[in-house]
Amino acid sequence: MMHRRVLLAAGLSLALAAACHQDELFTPLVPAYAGGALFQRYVSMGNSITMGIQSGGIDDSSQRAAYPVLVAAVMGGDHFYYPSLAEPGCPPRYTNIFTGARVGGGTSPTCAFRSAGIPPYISNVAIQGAWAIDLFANGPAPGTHSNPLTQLALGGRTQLQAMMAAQPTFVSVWIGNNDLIQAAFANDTLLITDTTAFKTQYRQVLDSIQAVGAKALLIGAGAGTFPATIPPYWSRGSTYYGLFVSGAFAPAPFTVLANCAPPRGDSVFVAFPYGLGLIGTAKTGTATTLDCTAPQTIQPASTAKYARIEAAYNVFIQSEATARSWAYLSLNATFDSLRTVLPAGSQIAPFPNTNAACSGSPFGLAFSCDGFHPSTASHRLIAKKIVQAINAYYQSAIPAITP
Amino acid sequence: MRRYALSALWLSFAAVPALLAAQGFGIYEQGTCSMGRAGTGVAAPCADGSAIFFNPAGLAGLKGGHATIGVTLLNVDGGFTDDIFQRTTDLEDPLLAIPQVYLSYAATPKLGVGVGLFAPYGLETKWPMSFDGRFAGYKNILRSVYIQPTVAYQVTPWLALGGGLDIVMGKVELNQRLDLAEAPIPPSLGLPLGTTFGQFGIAPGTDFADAHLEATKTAVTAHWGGLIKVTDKLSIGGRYLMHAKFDYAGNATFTQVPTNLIVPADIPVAPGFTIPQGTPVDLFLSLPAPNGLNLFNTVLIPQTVTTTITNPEQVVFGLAYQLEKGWTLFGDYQFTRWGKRFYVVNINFANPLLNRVLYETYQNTNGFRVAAEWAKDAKWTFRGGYLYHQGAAPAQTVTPLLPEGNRNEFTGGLTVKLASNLTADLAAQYIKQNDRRGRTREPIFNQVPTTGLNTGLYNFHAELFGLSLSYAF
Repeated sequence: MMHRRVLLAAGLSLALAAACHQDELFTPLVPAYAGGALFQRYVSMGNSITMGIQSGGIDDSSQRAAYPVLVAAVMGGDHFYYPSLAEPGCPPRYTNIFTGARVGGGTSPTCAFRSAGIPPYISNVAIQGAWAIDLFANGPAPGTHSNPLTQLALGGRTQLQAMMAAQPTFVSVWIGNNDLIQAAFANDTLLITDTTAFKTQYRQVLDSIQAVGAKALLIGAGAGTFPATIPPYWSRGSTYYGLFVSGAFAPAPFTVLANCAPPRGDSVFVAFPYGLGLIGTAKTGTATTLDCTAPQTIQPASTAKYARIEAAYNVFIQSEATARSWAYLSLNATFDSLRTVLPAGSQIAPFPNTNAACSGSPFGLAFSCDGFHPSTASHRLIAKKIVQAINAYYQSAIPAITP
Repeated sequence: MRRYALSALWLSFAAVPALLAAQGFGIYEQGTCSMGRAGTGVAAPCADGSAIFFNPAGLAGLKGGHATIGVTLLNVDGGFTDDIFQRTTDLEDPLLAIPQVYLSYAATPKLGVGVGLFAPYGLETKWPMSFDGRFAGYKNILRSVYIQPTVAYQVTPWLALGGGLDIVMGKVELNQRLDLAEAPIPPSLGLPLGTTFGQFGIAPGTDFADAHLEATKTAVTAHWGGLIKVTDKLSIGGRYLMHAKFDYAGNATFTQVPTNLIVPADIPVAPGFTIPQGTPVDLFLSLPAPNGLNLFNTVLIPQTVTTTITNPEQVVFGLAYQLEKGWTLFGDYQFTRWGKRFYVVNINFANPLLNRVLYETYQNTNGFRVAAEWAKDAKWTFRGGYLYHQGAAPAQTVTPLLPEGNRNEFTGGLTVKLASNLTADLAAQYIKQNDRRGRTREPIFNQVPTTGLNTGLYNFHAELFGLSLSYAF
């Protein structure tokens, strides 16, 4: 009898427990370190560096190596989604930039589109080639620079729209490089976004971030103080001249004019496709000459202008950060310091090693195989600096990126 | 005038079903008196003719005739809170009215006849268009109105049997948005089969079409019941409502919904095919080849749609025990065979590319009801009860169509004799459904859902108020 009652009581208890059982909402875990709530949901805005371009291409592997992914990992907030591009990429990365070989035998038009499995929001909204205006406007609006990745990553939305859709608590913005450097690629200083327009566009972005209630880190334009540190996509005229004088190009009939010699040649920059093109032609037996006054080279006056505008951008960006009580970081000193790492030229090669495939870091260890975009190691360095800057300003304790 | 009255009655039934109060899409509030008893009474149905639903055998032995008309008002509150944004979306179900009509007559002291109009199965869920679940269905209606002519006979002083033939008018309606991110890109573009617009960057939640599916069907089934008077105080009863299978055939229509997206750059899609910069996505979807996909003149055109939905069997057993001083206790148990009847729903379109498979995988359910009733005097009777029943939907099938779960319900009610041949019933019921994790989307490409798709929490509760009038003649 007693046994029956116990069984009955147990049965009733189980039934009542089942009747009252409630499922629960999954509430995101707030990062447990000091100030962690601020980093509950991180969104990164920017251009190709932020997006994860390396070696002239992009795929899931390079996206995963990008600094925002590394920062998000130690922030420990909500899942950080990037618009994963399927292998072999869009376009595939170079395996040898000097032969044009790319991953999977792809070519520059190759595009494998996005991976299946579409995330609920995008955290890394950065787009290759973005200028300041491209954060809030897409093609075909005048002055914009959209490309297929704008469509593939954001589906026709702007970076701002995608950022707002993600409802971030913290945003990083690294924009302005293309407003400057694309003019250098085209060797036309008229293409530089003038400081007034840049300020207007940049403020519009910051106002939108403020409107969603997020805090931010503003990263200054540049990856190295111009012209002291310039990506190894360009070599100094004086470097060409030194190699020429030492006989490095012999026996090819390739001449470097004396106007490339220091000190003038230190302020003349030669893009590697142009310089190596001349050398390649010479190797076929046709005499070629590098003239450091040629329109294909960046002249000292232009160099000075780039340096001046970059500095003006960064003064403005820093002042905006201060005015909005946001953190500011310039990575220029970090890249400057790489130039001094021994052995000299190991991090930023003054002249590309044309015998090396991409695995041999022909532009130095700090840059990927297009001479312009930081390498995986540099992304790690950038991420570390960002975490340090955020912790210093917001007095937070985001765990350090190790090693 | 009579025709208008009948039309009005039919219309009111046509609007009845709601996300309601029994397992799955079952509805058990079929009479105000029984509602106050938490739905018990299979062993002793209320004397208002609602025995036609609660136990057809209960018509035997009644005296004279009864006509009952009633209404149950439902105030439904519920919603969904998603894990990612912690955003709550509330159901938009309006205040609903569920009518009941029962007519019974004692042809002889042993033979009772009657006809009832009730809706034991149905659902209606309405969600705002901002809800992510709009892609599974923002306005979903499943309706079954039973008309049941019933005969009951007192076989012996202790045994009564009854049965009815049910003519069941079914209707199913599904309104949903189509998400461009999940839409497959037509293979004519030369991309791998199964490539979606999401892989072209289209963000989830990009509405590009509105789909409306509607179908009707009339089916026939039967309902049986028996009552045994064990002693003067104790009676037991049971009923069996057979399943009703509807082979629905209807129409599907599609309307384009503007995305207002513009292609920001030339997009080389395949060799020889580039979508030019500035192309409105909406035009690209609608224009004929070679400039577009012509979706709304090829795939998403008005077409026939068929599906089969089966209302499951209900088996109910119960007892009623009379205590002293007008008190009676009731206890019922209900088994509903969802597991066999609502497992996989195939929605087949004239264009098989659009075919959908909904893996509902409902489980058989058990419901338990207890109640007490006190006949204070010839004029007043009071009652109250409690019921618990399981949800039919398994953890992976809690969806915007029917986000149901285990429920606890509390009821109370009364009967008052207004005149010698007129009584009124009042009842109230509170439904608390356990919060339940669920999903807002159906899996793409008709895949089998898992609980991994669950993205948030559904909550639901409702208050019901019933009122009916019975006229004895």
